[in-house]
Amino acid sequence: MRDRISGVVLLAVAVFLYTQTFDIRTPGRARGVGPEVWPQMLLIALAALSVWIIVNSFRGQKAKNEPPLKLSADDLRVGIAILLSLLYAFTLESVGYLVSTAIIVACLAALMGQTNRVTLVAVPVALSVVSGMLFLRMGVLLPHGEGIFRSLSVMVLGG
Amino acid sequence: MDLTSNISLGLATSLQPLNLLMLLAGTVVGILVGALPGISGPMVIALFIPLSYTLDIIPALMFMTAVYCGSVYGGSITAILFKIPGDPGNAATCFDGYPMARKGLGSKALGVSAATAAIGGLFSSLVLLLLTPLLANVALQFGPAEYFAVTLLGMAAVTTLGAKSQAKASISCIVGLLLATVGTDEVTGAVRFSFGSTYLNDPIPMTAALIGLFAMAEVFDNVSGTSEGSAGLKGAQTILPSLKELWGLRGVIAKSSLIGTWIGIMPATGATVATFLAYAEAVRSSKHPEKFGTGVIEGVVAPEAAGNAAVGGSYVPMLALGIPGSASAAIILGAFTLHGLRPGPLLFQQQTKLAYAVIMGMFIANLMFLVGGVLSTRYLAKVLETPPSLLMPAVVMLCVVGSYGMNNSMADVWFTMGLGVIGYLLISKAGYSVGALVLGFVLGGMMESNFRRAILMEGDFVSGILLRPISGTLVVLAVALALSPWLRQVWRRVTHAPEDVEVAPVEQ
Repeated sequence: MRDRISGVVLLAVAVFLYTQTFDIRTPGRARGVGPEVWPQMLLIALAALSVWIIVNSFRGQKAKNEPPLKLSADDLRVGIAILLSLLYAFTLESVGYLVSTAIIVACLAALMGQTNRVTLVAVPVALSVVSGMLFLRMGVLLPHGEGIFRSLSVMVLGG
Repeated sequence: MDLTSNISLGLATSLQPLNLLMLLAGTVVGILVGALPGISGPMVIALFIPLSYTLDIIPALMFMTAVYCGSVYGGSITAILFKIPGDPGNAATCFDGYPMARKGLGSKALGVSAATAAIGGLFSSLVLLLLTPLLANVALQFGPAEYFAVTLLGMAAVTTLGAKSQAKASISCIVGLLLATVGTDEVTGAVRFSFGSTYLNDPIPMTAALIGLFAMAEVFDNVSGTSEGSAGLKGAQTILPSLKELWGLRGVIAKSSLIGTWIGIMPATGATVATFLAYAEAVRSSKHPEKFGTGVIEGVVAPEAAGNAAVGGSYVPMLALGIPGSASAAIILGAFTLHGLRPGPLLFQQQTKLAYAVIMGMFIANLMFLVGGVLSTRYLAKVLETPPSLLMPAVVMLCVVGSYGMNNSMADVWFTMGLGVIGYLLISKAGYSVGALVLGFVLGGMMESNFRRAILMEGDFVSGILLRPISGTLVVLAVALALSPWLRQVWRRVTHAPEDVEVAPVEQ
């Protein structure tokens, strides 16, 4: 079932991207192979292989014995981890590295089974502060955030 | 300069205090991350790339080379003691290493593993030293057609050798090649697949992509199969074998080192494939194949010697042709490009000091992890007790800092996150190959530009590539390699031979 789904998604992506290659405009007059030819070749190969994967997923013993695809607790946990990571990226500039790192690290640790409350507070805060100081000293311009978060970050990590 | 002078230059450079320190630090980090399940060598090398930008290229390469060597060895510690390969390349070591530990021979297994891994690594370093400059000289004659053909052969190798599914490995490779087409075309200036976003007007940043594909994808994979740490390393130590014992194992060591070096040279196949092939060969050629899996020493020697031999092997095509022999080498190639260098034949002429320093650094790294392995086993216990629930969130933090810090750009963070999710879904959930995807991505730009230049020079594909002796031969070899699984099936049907029995699953 997974092969079938991945094959269909990849085929759809290949077809969609192939239609996008018609919009590739060459500034001036191109000599030789145009900029759209290489991606088109790749997309044709991708589409053909995706069809192969889809067809194969219906063939053989494996297809007959395959259990239906169900979402497990693990899948749910990964889904939450992905959302938390995206939230981390989304809040990094507005909330700042210091606070967003501490919160997201604590949430991810809890998600992965850490239950000790002291650990859940102390480790993320320590990690955020120590790594923030270290990276700033190394010249990485970590975002301080806005408003109150900025004031807090500058106070803890320094300018 | 002759080879002796170059070796002296390389040795003197790699023995400079900072370089030696980086080798030592890389070895320690490598053994550690190799031993920690869920944290792999490529992941740490990818995370280190942004930091490498603040260093000179030679110390940065020393660190990455040592991490690579140390991590391939380090995974054997947990493979032997807990049956948990710290690195996919050590999975074959579990077969006999763990039964040895259960028989009370864990310290001996650890010692043999460290010694034979070092011998395999030193052997391939020697091949690297002697073969790479020769290969680079040959490669000086190469034009765009030959480079395109060599890259094509590499793609054919990675999608055929050791891949669980050739179709999926090919798709992974194509996805990597397609990712490399995003942004402004360097030949014509045309913008491809930008979808109106200014972020996508430039090529996808390599560091952000590598961190996403290796580190973020692996974090999500760990979240889905959470296991709370390991325990029970107390009292374990590494006891090196005597020279007499090693002499008794010379046949397996020699064969496995050769297999490992050869597989390492094949583009993007890497240590995992080498270890399984060497194990299979050790079983095949043994007088007592039935004893394998019950705790025989040859079952530890074969994968360990081959795994570390593959490391040196993977550097041969990277330094001589600019084509990495493994996923880790592909990431290290990325570090070269970030520093404005292009590995390939000219590297040995224009950057002699750097090229030989890296080679000599590999010799030193192999000796360092031998010593490090003996000394560090008992201290590893403390670190191995760190639960994944604290380790993985810290890796997420490093991913974000690593991708953001490169250009101080949130776009890079989004690339890391996006490719992390794509990598997890494609690789962990659907069984596609990360090695093939990264090879496609890293070599995509070079492959396309050489393809187009070759055709521009001669007018068409046939006269531009197929009718040239070297490129034509390489293209035919690539096609033959890609078709070899089907040809084998046809041959079996014709001769009514039985199907191959799979020795063990191989993950790249």
